[in-house]
Amino acid sequence: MGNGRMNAVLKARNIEKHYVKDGASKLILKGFSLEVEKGEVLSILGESGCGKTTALNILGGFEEIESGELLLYGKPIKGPSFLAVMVFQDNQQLFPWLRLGENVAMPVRKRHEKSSAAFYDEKTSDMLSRVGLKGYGNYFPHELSGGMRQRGALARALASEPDILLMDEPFASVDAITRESLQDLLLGIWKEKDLTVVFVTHDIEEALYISDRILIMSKESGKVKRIINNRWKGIRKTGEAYFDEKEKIKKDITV
Amino acid sequence: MKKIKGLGIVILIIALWQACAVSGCLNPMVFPSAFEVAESLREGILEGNLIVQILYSLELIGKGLLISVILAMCVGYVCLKASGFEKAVKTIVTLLHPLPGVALLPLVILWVGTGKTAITIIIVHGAFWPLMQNLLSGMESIPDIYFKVGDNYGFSTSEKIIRILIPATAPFLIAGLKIAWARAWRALISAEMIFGAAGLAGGIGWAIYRSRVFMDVAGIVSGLAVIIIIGIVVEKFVFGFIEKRTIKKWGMAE
Repeated sequence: MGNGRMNAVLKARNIEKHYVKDGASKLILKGFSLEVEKGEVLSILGESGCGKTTALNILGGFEEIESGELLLYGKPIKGPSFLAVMVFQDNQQLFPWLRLGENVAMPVRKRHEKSSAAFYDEKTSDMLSRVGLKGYGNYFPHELSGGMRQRGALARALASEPDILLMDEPFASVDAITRESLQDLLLGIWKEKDLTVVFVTHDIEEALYISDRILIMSKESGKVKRIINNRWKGIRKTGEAYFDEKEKIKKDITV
Repeated sequence: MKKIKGLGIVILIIALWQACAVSGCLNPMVFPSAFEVAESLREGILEGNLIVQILYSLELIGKGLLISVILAMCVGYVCLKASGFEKAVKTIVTLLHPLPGVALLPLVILWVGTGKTAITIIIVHGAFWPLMQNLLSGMESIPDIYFKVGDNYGFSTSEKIIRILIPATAPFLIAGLKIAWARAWRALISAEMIFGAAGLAGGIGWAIYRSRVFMDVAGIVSGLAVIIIIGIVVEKFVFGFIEKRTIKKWGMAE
C-alpha cells in the first residue's frame, strides 16, 4: 500500500488520541493513518474498544486530535459539516418531535436556504422513496420500527448531500434479516449515487459484503493492522476461500 | 370510564358533605350545606365579584409564570454555554427551592412594599426553582446525538436552542410547569390572605379571607371550590392539551 492514492478525498496521517478518565490517560489511537478514495466504501473493522468509533468521530470533526494530520480535500478538518455527515448506531437519532418527512427535509432546507417549498417536498419524497419509505413522511419516528428509523436516518444523511457518508455501525441495532436488507439498500444507493462511504463495523461478514477496502484494527494498541482490497463485495458467504479470508481477519482483530 | 369514575367520586364527596351538614351534629354556623355553597357560588358569579377575583388572581399567576419560564430559559441557555455556571445554579436551586414563599414575604414587603409587585415576586419564587430544576435535569437527559446531528447540519446556536433544546427537554419543561403552577397558586393565595389583612383589594385568596371576617362560611367554602375547579381545569384541559399536542404526539411522554 504505497503512499498517496490517486483520488484520495480524505487523508489521515499518524493520528494520536487519548482519553483521560479519573486522572488516568488511556491510549485510543496511535499512528492511525488512512486514505479514503472518492467513490469507495471503506470499512473500519475491529472489536469493541479498538478505537474504531473514535476514529470515525475524528474523521467527522466531532473530536479533536492531539497529533497527526487530517485533511479533507487538502484542508484541515475544523469541525462537523455537510462535507462529512454521520449516520449513528442509535436508532433514536431522528428528532422525535419532527415527522419523518420533516427530519429528512431539515438538511435540505439548510443546504438550499432560499428554495421553494415544492423543491423541499420533491427532494424529501425522492429521498424517502430511495430508502423504501415512500408514504411514511407523515409518521413520527416513534411510530416506525427500528429498521425504518435507520432507513430514515440514512435518508436524512443522504438528503444533506455529503461528500463523504460516515456510518457508525448503523445496522447493528436491528435484527439480522433487516440488517441484510439495509446492507443491500446501502449498496444500491452507493451504485446509483457514486457515494464515498466510511463504514465502521465489528461484523466481518458485513465488512466483506459492503466494502471495497477493509481497514482492520488490532485489538489492543489502537493501531491499523492492515488494509485489504476486498474481493467479496456484494457476495454473501460462499466457498472455502471466503471462509479462509474470514478466519484470517478474525485472527487479526482478536489478537 | 375513567372520567365517569372521577365524577362519581366528586358526587360522593359532595353527598357526604351534605349528609354531615344535615345530620345536625355540626354547627351550621361553621359548616354550611352544599346548597348554601352553591348559592354563594351562583351569587358570586352573577354579581360578577367572583369572576373579577378569579381574573385578578389568574392574571397575577400568568404573569409570574411567564416571567419564570423566560428567566429559566435564559439561565438554562447560559448553563449550556458555561458548565461552571450550571454548578452554581444547581447549588442556588438546592438552597432556595425548599424555602416557602411566605417566609420570604416580610423581606419582600420591606423591599417593595405590599401589592402586586410583592405578590409577583413570591409567585416567581414559587415557580422558578422547580422549573429550573426540571429544565436542568432535562438538559442532562438530552442525548448527545441530537446536538451532534445539529452540528453536522450546520445549526447555529439559536437554532440549537429552538429546534433541539426546547423540544428535547419538553417532557421535563411540562412536568416543571405543572409543579410551578401548583406552587404559584399556593404563593398567590398565601400572599393575598396576608395582604387582605392589610386592607388591599384583590383576588380569590383575598375573597376567602374577607369571607372569614364577615363570618360568611359558605363564601369561604365556595372560594375553596373555585380554587379546586380552576386547578382541575388547568390540569386536565390546559396541560392535557399541551401534552397531547407535543410530547404525547412525539412519543416522548413517559
